[in-house]
Amino acid sequence: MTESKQKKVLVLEDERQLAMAVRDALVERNFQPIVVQTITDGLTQLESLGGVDVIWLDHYLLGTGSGLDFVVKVKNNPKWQQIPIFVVSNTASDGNVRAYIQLGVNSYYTKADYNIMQIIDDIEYSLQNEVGEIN
Amino acid sequence: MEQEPLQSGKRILRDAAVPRGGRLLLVLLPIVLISGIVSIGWLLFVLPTTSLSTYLVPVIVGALAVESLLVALLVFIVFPGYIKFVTLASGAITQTAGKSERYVHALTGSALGYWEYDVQRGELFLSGSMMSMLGYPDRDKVESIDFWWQNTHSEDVEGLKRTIEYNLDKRAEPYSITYRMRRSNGEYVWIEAKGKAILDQSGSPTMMSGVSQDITNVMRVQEVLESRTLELEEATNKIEQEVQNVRKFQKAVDSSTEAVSITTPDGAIVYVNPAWMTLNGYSEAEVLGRNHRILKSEDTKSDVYVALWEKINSGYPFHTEDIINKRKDASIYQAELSIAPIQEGNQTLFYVSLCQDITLRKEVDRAKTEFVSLASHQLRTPLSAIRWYSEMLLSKYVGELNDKQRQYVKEIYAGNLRMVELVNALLNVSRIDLGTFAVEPEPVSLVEICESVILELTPQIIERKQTVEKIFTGAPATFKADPKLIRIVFQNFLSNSVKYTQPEGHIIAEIRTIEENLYIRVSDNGYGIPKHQQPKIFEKLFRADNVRQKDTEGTGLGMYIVKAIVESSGGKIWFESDENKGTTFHVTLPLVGMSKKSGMRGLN
Repeated sequence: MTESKQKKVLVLEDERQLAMAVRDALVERNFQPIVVQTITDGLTQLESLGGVDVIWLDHYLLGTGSGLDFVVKVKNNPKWQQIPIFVVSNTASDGNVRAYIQLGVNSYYTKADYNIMQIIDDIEYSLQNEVGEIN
Repeated sequence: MEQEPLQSGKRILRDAAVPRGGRLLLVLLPIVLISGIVSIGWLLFVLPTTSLSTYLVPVIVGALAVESLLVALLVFIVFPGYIKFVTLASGAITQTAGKSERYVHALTGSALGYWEYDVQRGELFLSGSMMSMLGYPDRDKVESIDFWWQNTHSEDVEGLKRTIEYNLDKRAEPYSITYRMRRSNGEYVWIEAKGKAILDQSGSPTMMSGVSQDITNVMRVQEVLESRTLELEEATNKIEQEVQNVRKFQKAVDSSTEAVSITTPDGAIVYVNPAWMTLNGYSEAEVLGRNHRILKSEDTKSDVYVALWEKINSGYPFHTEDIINKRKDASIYQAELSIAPIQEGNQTLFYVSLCQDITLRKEVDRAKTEFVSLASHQLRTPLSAIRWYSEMLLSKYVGELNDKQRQYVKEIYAGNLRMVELVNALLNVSRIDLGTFAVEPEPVSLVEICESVILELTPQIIERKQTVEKIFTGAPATFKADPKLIRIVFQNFLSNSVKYTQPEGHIIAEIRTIEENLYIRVSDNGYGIPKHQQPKIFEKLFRADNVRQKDTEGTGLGMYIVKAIVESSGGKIWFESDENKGTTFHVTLPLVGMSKKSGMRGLN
């Protein structure tokens, strides 16, 4: 598998420990993670990379704005609105979770309740289906 | 006065002295008359035959003259004196007898018995009325003094003897004593005896006499009165004690820091204690006779009052922490209120209510719960890190661990899962306690949810060789419920049954409809819940002793959460359990399903 075939995952996670675990796990599963801690950095990365394959998003992040603000921006951008988003957070309220679902994110996970590999399995499954649909 | 008849008789006889020389004449008169008759016979028949016959006439005339003189003396001098004496004596006797009769009448009329005790001869004279008093024929009688002692009540005889001895010794006079005498029929009669000793000229007692009266009825009345008096005294003491108790209670209630009020069944306030007045800002005069509605605020939910009246109208006490009261100055406070109907038979006499301002306590509770919620949230991040890193260590991506390392990491991973479960449960409890948990009902298949929970538990069920019987034939196709919440119910019931039932045990899960309700039953033949701990089963952090020894991993929060879910959905939950026989949990939920409730978070 070459670098170019690796799927890019933009990871927005401000907890150092968790961000490292997500990065390592994604690398292990042959993804190319790009880890940022703020929405601004996330948007910058999207711009500079010209889009990514998947977004891994925490709700509370460093800096101003939450994951919801980020999703709104991504979904409002025609270039990015098709990128699958997986919200992985410990703290979002029911109302926020509903808002995420309504905004069209693919899935919502409570971090402590899921193995990291379960989430990556779901991401892979989702990407495969996407590929299938395209084909 | 007592001596009156005797004295007057004696005086009369003394005044009417016997005529002088009368006795001599009375003795001489027959001698003179007889000797006169003999002399006349001799003069008529013997003298003529003697030589003195010539003096016959003069001798006869002389003898007649002497006789005539003596007769004349008798008739004209002695007889009138005697006639006068006899007349006066007769008068005296009549008068004495008449007066005595008065005393006899007085004695009999007053039901007094008369007695006389001859001290020297030891004889006892008892009047007819005295005998009659003792149940014998109404005749005067003379008895030995022993007759008296033998018939005196054994408890009284000593006292009676002593009294008489004292009286005879002139140490007490006259005496009066009350004692009991046996009647002829064996019954006892109460007697009040009064008497005194009669002394001779030397001052020694010769006689003793007195009267006795039957006072049995008086004694009976006295006994009844005494017993009534005793009863009255006891009643008075009791009343006094009650009054003391009431005073004690009054003081206790008056000085209570809880606001206490008493109302009549129709709601009129009849008592408020100082704490009540301080809490609500009203004076006693302002509230007596008024209704508790003066405290009602718009902020109390109407169903609280509905539940309140439902309870107390059925004669049960009511307790709530959900009342918001309004003070006189219109400020409000959250109240913990207990109302107890005080009943006599089926009638409610009044209601006693205890009220406390728990605004601060609730705020503290809320702050504590919020803290638990926040802390639990914060715990999730490090828990996620532990979970993910241990998972990655176990997943060979970073190289093979040796067996021991693998075992240890597995323990870390399992411990972490437990911690996650506990944190989730604590979060659920805090949401319940804060009233912030959301209910998002949608049509769900209860059978599917139950089946999926059983599927999750299948590894443990297989390991423990347990059997699960599913009775779903009467289950509705869909039911309006929050799937997460209903899942928590099944998850707790079934995982408890699996954990707390011995290997090869049997578990039953049943879902069906009963009338207007959905009915869920989860039953097992496992370890059961000890009887003494059953009332605590739905309390937070409770775990039964017998299962704590067998399984150390439970959180003690599951049943609290289940109860909150069921009750918040208008349902009921109950159970039966016998140690080492098993436990059955029952739940009913209204068939209309759960109602939507907005909140910060659902339960996990």
